[in-house]
Amino acid sequence: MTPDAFSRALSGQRGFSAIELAKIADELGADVHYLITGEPDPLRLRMVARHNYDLVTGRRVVRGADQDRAILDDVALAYRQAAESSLPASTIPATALDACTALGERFVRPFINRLEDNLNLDVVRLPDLSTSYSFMLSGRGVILVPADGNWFYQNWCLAHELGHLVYGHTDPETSDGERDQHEHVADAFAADLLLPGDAIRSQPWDRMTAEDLADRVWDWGISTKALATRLRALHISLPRLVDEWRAQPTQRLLRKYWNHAEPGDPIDQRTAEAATRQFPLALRQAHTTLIAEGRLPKGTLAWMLGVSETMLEVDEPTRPEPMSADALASALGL
Amino acid sequence: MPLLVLPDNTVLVNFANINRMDLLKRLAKHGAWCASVADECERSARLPGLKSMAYAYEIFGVPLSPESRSEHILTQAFRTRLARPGEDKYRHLGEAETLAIMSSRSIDGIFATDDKSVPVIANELKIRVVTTFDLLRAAHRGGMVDADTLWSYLQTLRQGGRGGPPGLFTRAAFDRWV
Repeated sequence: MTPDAFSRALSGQRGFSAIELAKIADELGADVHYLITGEPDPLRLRMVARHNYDLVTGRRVVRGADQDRAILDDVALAYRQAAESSLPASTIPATALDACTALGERFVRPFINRLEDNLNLDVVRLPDLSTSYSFMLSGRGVILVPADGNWFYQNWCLAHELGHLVYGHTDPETSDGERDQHEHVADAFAADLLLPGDAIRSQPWDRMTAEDLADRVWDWGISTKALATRLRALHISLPRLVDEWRAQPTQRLLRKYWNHAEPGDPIDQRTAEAATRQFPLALRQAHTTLIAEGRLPKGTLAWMLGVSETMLEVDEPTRPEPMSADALASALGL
Repeated sequence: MPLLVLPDNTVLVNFANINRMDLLKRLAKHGAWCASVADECERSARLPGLKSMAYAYEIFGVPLSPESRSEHILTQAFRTRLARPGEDKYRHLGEAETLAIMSSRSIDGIFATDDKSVPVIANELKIRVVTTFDLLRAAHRGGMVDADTLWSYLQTLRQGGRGGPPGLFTRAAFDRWV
């Protein structure tokens, strides 16, 4: 846009095109909606990221932030497109204890389903995400986790992000110190949810066998390293067995010592589940309904399902017959 | 009076690709376009082989811009609905702006676009949509292009990754269609 065109647009002698507005918004780091209305965009997403601690700089960072940005934008688009179907608001618990009660007994294995069914809280699991994120949109809470096959890490991420939602954390305007504090609070929430102090203290650590430890680690859905960290945080002296296993792969402990009665290979199955691309049913259903009503194209639903748009067959309204070539030629005055 | 034709950039690129902006001018005797499409067109005209797109100003005249807050909001809402994950954030703004201006000003015309998402919203707004190939076929019916030439245009556009009518891969199928 030339300075002259910009000046004429500001003085009302010409309008702004949609592209010009979008580029001005980029230049100013503002929302297009704000430029148009002077009001914040009600559908603007304020993501919170799980930051890793950088030992060199002493700061919390998201190393894959740039790569994640495109994925987050795509997820945001899916939610913005579904906004008119008004997904029910999530029930955000007030404390870890409330969350534990709401999610029900033995919630960790079906963690994602319980979040969706019991709290109306969506979980998106995608490969290539470097860390976990969460956001609220029109009262609906959404958690994003990497589909990396590591269910211990994934469970911790889910609990950590739930903590961010419980405490209403948002990233963009927070200082380093504040962000640091948010991360501590979210981690403490995750620890209280997945490894409640009373349950950990009541374990017979001195008499525990490797089989018992494997059984606990499987049920709690955490790694041996996370367990050791939790024991230290609770000022419980590290049992010999936990100390021995904390630096070893959790899957090794499970493969060697976990006795299960489940059919097939539940360890492999749990890994495969944690590596699967997944979008919440409520979001998929919202898109399916909007497509059937002729309100949305099916490109985003196809992307969520990881299939080709042209191959995806869903209910779509019947399109009107196109103009015949002769009718068009006549309408064009040919 | 001939029907008003509003194009998007996909159609302009296609006519420039077959080097027939002159044909587009004869088809769009009564033409108009939107400012974001003109912006996209200007950018495309800088690409190799598409210089003739600059001629679009002569065909479609001074571009229409959104004139009110509601037209801008409508444009943004349509753009959100047209977009697909992975697309550039400026993509579909021309189509969204055209749909917003046509619907908000009740413009009686046809929207010429090859954007596959557009018909979904256009249908809801009762806006008629035609594609590049609909226009080319109409040109044939109007005696402006013979079948052999039209077939060669189809090959050129296909080779350039610009698509074509579904299923028209043989000359016999093309002859039935045309």
